[in-house]
Amino acid sequence: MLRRIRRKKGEVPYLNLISLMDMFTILVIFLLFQASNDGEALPISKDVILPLSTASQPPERALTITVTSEEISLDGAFIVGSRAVLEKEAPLIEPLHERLLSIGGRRATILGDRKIPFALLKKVMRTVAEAGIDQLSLAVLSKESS
Amino acid sequence: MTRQRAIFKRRKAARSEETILSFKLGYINLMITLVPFLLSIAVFSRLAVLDLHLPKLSSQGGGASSPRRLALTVEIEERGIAVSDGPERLAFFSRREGGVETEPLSSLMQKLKKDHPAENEIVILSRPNIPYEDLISVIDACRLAKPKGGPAQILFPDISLGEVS
Repeated sequence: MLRRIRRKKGEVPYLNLISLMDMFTILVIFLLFQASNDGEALPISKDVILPLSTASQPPERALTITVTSEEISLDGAFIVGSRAVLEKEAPLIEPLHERLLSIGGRRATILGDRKIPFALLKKVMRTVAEAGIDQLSLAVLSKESS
Repeated sequence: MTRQRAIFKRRKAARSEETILSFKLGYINLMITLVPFLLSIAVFSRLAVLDLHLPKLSSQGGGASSPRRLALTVEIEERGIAVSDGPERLAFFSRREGGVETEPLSSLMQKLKKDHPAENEIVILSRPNIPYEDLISVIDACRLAKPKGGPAQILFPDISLGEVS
């Protein structure tokens, strides 16, 4: 009632925006820091669900081999279907081996889905080792346990 | 004259207030676009890597030079996890519904580490159809122990993977 009386004709109701601006600024700064802290972000496709682990070592720049139960890809490029690899008796994955040899490099990271069988992983690791890569790491999601 | 000046002053004040308001609105518009954008690219799950030791393809059977070393082997099978030191079997943990049980494995590993503090190597062997997730949890149990309320203890960080033959 009082307010209605006080408000004159044509006067815009005043809204204090300063606190809103402060809040947004802090939020943006926080998000920017978080985005820059990520370091080497690994390209994860949507169909890979990485396993959880207590590891906390940050990933380094490396070749990334994505292994799902559907396909195997190297740095995002499709190499071969997983089922075909599992059906074959050969210990090596020939297409992957050729690609790795043509690219070269000493370091690789395997992004494996939670559900892939060890047989598939073993073939990938064997191929990677044959291609002359000696530093192999497995990408996992870090469990945040305090 | 004085009245005119007063009117002029009031107008000027109103105009500057309007400029400030438009500044604020522009700023807020910018923030409203920036915040969702940054939120969408923010990754809330932290990635990490586990380093592995690839078995050297050329070396066939290492030299047994050291006097008494632990040759720890963990075998992950369909029925459970077997821990052995060379040919001698130390323990067997049978499998639980929906995953591997890592807590007894972890306590065994802590005990073994206490007995052999210099040992860092472990071989983890797995059956072909064991899912990756179970393998990672076994690796975790062998690599690092996190006792409740204590600092993390490094157990056997040099991990080699292989298949059960």
